[in-house]
Amino acid sequence: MIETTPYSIFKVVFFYCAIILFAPITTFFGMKYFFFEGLIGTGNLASNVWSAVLAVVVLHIALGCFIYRAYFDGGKAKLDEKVD
Amino acid sequence: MVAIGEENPVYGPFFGVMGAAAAIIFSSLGAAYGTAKSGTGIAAMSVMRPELIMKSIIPVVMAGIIAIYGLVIAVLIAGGIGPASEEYTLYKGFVHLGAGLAVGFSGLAAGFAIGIVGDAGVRGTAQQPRLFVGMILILIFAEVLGLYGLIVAIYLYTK
Repeated sequence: MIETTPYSIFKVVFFYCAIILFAPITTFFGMKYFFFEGLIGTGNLASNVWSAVLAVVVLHIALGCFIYRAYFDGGKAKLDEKVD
Repeated sequence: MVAIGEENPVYGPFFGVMGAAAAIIFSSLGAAYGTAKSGTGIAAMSVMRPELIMKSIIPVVMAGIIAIYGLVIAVLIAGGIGPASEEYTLYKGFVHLGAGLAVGFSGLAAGFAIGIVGDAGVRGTAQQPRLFVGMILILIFAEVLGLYGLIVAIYLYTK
Protein backbone atom coordinates (compact mmCIF):
# COMPACT_ATOMS: atom_id res chain seq x y z
CA MET A 1 0.00 0.00 0.00
CA ILE A 2 1.48 3.30 -1.07
CA GLU A 3 1.41 5.91 1.64
CA THR A 4 -1.05 8.65 0.69
CA THR A 5 -0.69 12.32 1.47
CA PRO A 6 -3.24 15.15 1.14
CA TYR A 7 -1.57 16.16 -2.10
CA SER A 8 -1.96 12.70 -3.63
CA ILE A 9 -5.64 12.63 -2.57
CA PHE A 10 -6.11 15.97 -4.29
CA LYS A 11 -4.45 14.62 -7.43
CA VAL A 12 -6.69 11.55 -7.52
CA VAL A 13 -9.91 13.49 -6.87
CA PHE A 14 -8.95 16.16 -9.40
CA PHE A 15 -8.15 13.51 -12.03
CA TYR A 16 -11.45 11.69 -11.62
CA CYS A 17 -13.49 14.89 -11.47
CA ALA A 18 -11.84 16.12 -14.68
CA ILE A 19 -12.68 12.80 -16.38
CA ILE A 20 -16.29 12.87 -15.13
CA LEU A 21 -16.80 16.45 -16.30
CA PHE A 22 -15.03 16.39 -19.67
CA ALA A 23 -15.30 12.78 -20.92
CA PRO A 24 -19.06 12.90 -21.66
CA ILE A 25 -18.85 16.26 -23.45
CA THR A 26 -15.87 15.10 -25.51
CA THR A 27 -17.62 11.80 -26.25
CA PHE A 28 -20.82 13.53 -27.34
CA PHE A 29 -19.25 15.92 -29.82
CA GLY A 30 -16.46 13.55 -30.87
CA MET A 31 -18.80 10.70 -31.66
CA LYS A 32 -21.35 13.00 -33.32
CA TYR A 33 -19.00 14.79 -35.70
CA PHE A 34 -16.18 12.29 -36.29
CA PHE A 35 -17.77 8.87 -35.90
CA PHE A 36 -21.48 9.02 -36.72
CA GLU A 37 -21.59 11.90 -39.20
CA GLY A 38 -18.03 11.57 -40.48
CA LEU A 39 -17.34 7.84 -40.75
CA ILE A 40 -20.74 6.13 -40.79
CA GLY A 41 -22.79 8.99 -42.21
CA THR A 42 -25.94 8.52 -40.12
CA GLY A 43 -28.63 11.18 -40.11
CA ASN A 44 -28.68 14.18 -37.81
CA LEU A 45 -31.31 12.83 -35.40
CA ALA A 46 -29.85 9.33 -35.08
CA SER A 47 -26.29 10.55 -34.58
CA ASN A 48 -27.46 13.04 -31.95
CA VAL A 49 -29.35 10.41 -29.99
CA TRP A 50 -26.63 7.75 -30.15
CA SER A 51 -23.94 10.25 -29.17
CA ALA A 52 -26.06 11.31 -26.19
CA VAL A 53 -26.58 7.70 -25.11
CA LEU A 54 -22.85 6.97 -25.44
CA ALA A 55 -21.95 10.12 -23.49
CA VAL A 56 -24.17 9.03 -20.62
CA VAL A 57 -22.70 5.52 -20.68
CA VAL A 58 -19.14 6.93 -20.56
CA LEU A 59 -20.22 9.20 -17.70
CA HIS A 60 -21.44 6.27 -15.63
CA ILE A 61 -18.32 4.22 -16.33
CA ALA A 62 -16.20 7.13 -15.05
CA LEU A 63 -18.43 7.50 -12.00
CA GLY A 64 -18.17 3.77 -11.31
CA CYS A 65 -14.37 3.97 -11.47
CA PHE A 66 -14.38 6.87 -9.00
CA ILE A 67 -16.66 5.07 -6.53
CA TYR A 68 -14.52 1.91 -6.84
CA ARG A 69 -11.36 3.90 -6.12
CA ALA A 70 -12.95 5.77 -3.22
CA TYR A 71 -14.33 2.56 -1.73
CA PHE A 72 -11.05 0.63 -1.80
CA ASP A 73 -8.46 3.40 -1.37
CA GLY A 74 -10.28 6.15 0.47
CA GLY A 75 -9.89 6.80 4.17
CA LYS A 76 -6.36 5.45 4.45
CA ALA A 77 -4.56 8.76 4.16
CA LYS A 78 -1.82 9.65 6.56
CA LEU A 79 -2.31 13.30 7.26
CA ASP A 80 -0.03 15.95 8.63
CA GLU A 81 -0.18 16.13 12.37
CA LYS A 82 -1.87 19.20 13.76
CA VAL A 83 0.66 21.48 15.45
CA ASP A 84 -0.41 23.34 18.57
CA MET B 1 -38.53 27.46 -47.01
CA VAL B 2 -42.16 26.70 -46.24
CA ALA B 3 -44.97 29.16 -45.86
CA ILE B 4 -45.93 29.94 -42.27
CA GLY B 5 -49.21 28.17 -41.63
CA GLU B 6 -51.34 26.51 -38.99
CA GLU B 7 -48.97 23.52 -38.71
CA ASN B 8 -45.83 25.63 -38.30
CA PRO B 9 -46.78 28.99 -36.81
CA VAL B 10 -44.16 31.63 -36.15
CA TYR B 11 -44.32 31.06 -32.38
CA GLY B 12 -43.62 27.31 -32.73
CA PRO B 13 -39.88 27.56 -31.92
CA PHE B 14 -40.77 29.37 -28.68
CA PHE B 15 -41.80 26.06 -27.15
CA GLY B 16 -38.61 24.37 -28.28
CA VAL B 17 -36.44 27.14 -26.88
CA MET B 18 -38.32 27.01 -23.58
CA GLY B 19 -37.75 23.25 -23.52
CA ALA B 20 -33.99 23.64 -23.95
CA ALA B 21 -33.92 26.35 -21.28
CA ALA B 22 -36.07 24.34 -18.84
CA ALA B 23 -33.82 21.30 -19.26
CA ILE B 24 -30.66 23.06 -18.13
CA ILE B 25 -32.26 25.50 -15.65
CA PHE B 26 -34.09 22.95 -13.52
CA SER B 27 -31.31 20.34 -13.69
CA SER B 28 -28.83 22.97 -12.54
CA LEU B 29 -31.17 23.99 -9.73
CA GLY B 30 -31.27 20.41 -8.50
CA ALA B 31 -27.53 19.97 -8.91
CA ALA B 32 -26.83 23.23 -7.06
CA TYR B 33 -29.03 22.21 -4.14
CA GLY B 34 -27.41 18.77 -4.01
CA THR B 35 -23.91 20.20 -4.10
CA ALA B 36 -24.58 22.86 -1.48
CA LYS B 37 -26.45 20.61 0.93
CA SER B 38 -23.93 17.75 0.81
CA GLY B 39 -21.11 20.31 0.79
CA THR B 40 -22.16 21.63 4.20
CA GLY B 41 -22.18 18.03 5.45
CA ILE B 42 -18.66 17.43 4.11
CA ALA B 43 -17.38 20.66 5.64
CA ALA B 44 -18.79 19.76 9.04
CA MET B 45 -17.51 16.17 8.86
CA SER B 46 -13.99 16.96 7.61
CA VAL B 47 -13.14 18.99 10.69
CA MET B 48 -12.85 15.77 12.68
CA ARG B 49 -12.20 13.14 9.95
CA PRO B 50 -10.27 14.81 7.10
CA GLU B 51 -9.03 11.43 5.79
CA LEU B 52 -12.57 10.63 4.58
CA ILE B 53 -12.63 13.50 2.06
CA MET B 54 -12.34 11.27 -0.99
CA LYS B 55 -15.19 9.01 0.10
CA SER B 56 -17.42 11.90 1.06
CA ILE B 57 -16.95 13.80 -2.20
CA ILE B 58 -19.17 11.23 -4.00
CA PRO B 59 -22.53 13.02 -3.38
CA VAL B 60 -21.07 16.20 -4.90
CA VAL B 61 -19.94 14.32 -8.00
CA MET B 62 -23.36 12.66 -8.32
CA ALA B 63 -25.09 16.03 -8.04
CA GLY B 64 -22.82 17.31 -10.81
CA ILE B 65 -23.90 14.43 -13.03
CA ILE B 66 -27.53 15.59 -12.76
CA ALA B 67 -26.50 18.83 -14.41
CA ILE B 68 -24.75 16.89 -17.20
CA TYR B 69 -28.06 15.09 -17.94
CA GLY B 70 -29.72 18.45 -18.39
CA LEU B 71 -26.84 19.69 -20.51
CA VAL B 72 -27.06 16.70 -22.86
CA ILE B 73 -30.79 17.19 -23.45
CA ALA B 74 -30.43 20.97 -23.80
CA VAL B 75 -27.74 20.49 -26.44
CA LEU B 76 -29.89 17.92 -28.27
CA ILE B 77 -32.93 20.23 -28.30
CA ALA B 78 -30.89 23.28 -29.24
CA GLY B 79 -29.52 21.33 -32.21
CA GLY B 80 -33.07 20.52 -33.36
CA ILE B 81 -34.54 24.01 -33.20
CA GLY B 82 -34.92 26.07 -36.34
CA PRO B 83 -37.07 28.87 -37.71
CA ALA B 84 -40.73 28.09 -38.29
CA SER B 85 -40.25 28.70 -42.00
CA GLU B 86 -37.83 25.72 -42.13
CA GLU B 87 -40.54 23.20 -41.23
CA TYR B 88 -40.28 23.57 -37.48
CA THR B 89 -43.83 22.50 -36.67
CA LEU B 90 -45.77 23.30 -33.52
CA TYR B 91 -45.78 19.56 -32.77
CA LYS B 92 -41.97 19.54 -32.70
CA GLY B 93 -42.03 22.51 -30.36
CA PHE B 94 -44.38 20.74 -27.95
CA VAL B 95 -42.26 17.58 -28.02
CA HIS B 96 -39.10 19.56 -27.29
CA LEU B 97 -40.82 21.42 -24.44
CA GLY B 98 -41.97 18.09 -22.99
CA ALA B 99 -38.47 16.60 -23.24
CA GLY B 100 -36.93 19.60 -21.52
CA LEU B 101 -39.46 19.61 -18.71
CA ALA B 102 -39.08 15.84 -18.22
CA VAL B 103 -35.34 15.95 -17.68
CA GLY B 104 -35.49 19.29 -15.84
CA PHE B 105 -37.97 18.38 -13.13
CA SER B 106 -36.58 14.85 -12.72
CA GLY B 107 -33.17 16.42 -12.23
CA LEU B 108 -34.60 18.85 -9.69
CA ALA B 109 -36.12 15.97 -7.73
CA ALA B 110 -32.96 13.87 -7.92
CA GLY B 111 -30.81 16.81 -6.85
CA PHE B 112 -32.96 17.43 -3.78
CA ALA B 113 -32.76 13.75 -2.84
CA ILE B 114 -28.98 13.63 -3.35
CA GLY B 115 -28.48 16.75 -1.26
CA ILE B 116 -30.46 15.55 1.73
CA VAL B 117 -29.10 11.99 1.60
CA GLY B 118 -25.55 13.21 1.01
CA ASP B 119 -25.63 15.57 3.98
CA ALA B 120 -26.93 12.98 6.43
CA GLY B 121 -24.90 10.14 4.90
CA VAL B 122 -21.57 11.92 5.02
CA ARG B 123 -22.04 12.96 8.64
CA GLY B 124 -23.09 9.41 9.53
CA THR B 125 -20.17 7.78 7.68
CA ALA B 126 -17.73 9.74 9.82
CA GLN B 127 -19.08 7.99 12.92
CA GLN B 128 -19.89 4.56 11.44
CA PRO B 129 -17.82 3.70 8.33
CA ARG B 130 -20.07 0.72 7.50
CA LEU B 131 -22.78 3.22 6.57
CA PHE B 132 -20.78 4.06 3.42
CA VAL B 133 -22.19 1.19 1.34
CA GLY B 134 -25.73 2.12 2.33
CA MET B 135 -25.12 5.77 1.50
CA ILE B 136 -23.80 4.85 -1.97
CA LEU B 137 -26.85 2.65 -2.66
CA ILE B 138 -29.29 5.36 -1.59
CA LEU B 139 -27.41 7.91 -3.69
CA ILE B 140 -27.59 5.62 -6.73
CA PHE B 141 -31.34 5.23 -6.25
CA ALA B 142 -31.65 9.02 -6.07
CA GLU B 143 -29.47 9.36 -9.17
CA VAL B 144 -31.58 7.01 -11.31
CA LEU B 145 -34.56 9.34 -10.81
CA GLY B 146 -32.69 11.82 -12.96
CA LEU B 147 -31.71 9.05 -15.37
CA TYR B 148 -35.37 8.11 -15.86
CA GLY B 149 -36.10 11.69 -16.82
CA LEU B 150 -33.19 11.59 -19.29
CA ILE B 151 -34.49 8.37 -20.88
CA VAL B 152 -38.00 9.79 -21.28
CA ALA B 153 -36.55 13.01 -22.71
CA ILE B 154 -34.43 11.17 -25.30
CA TYR B 155 -37.42 9.02 -26.22
CA LEU B 156 -39.60 12.12 -26.64
CA TYR B 157 -36.90 13.85 -28.68
CA THR B 158 -36.85 11.03 -31.23
CA LYS B 159 -40.62 11.38 -31.90
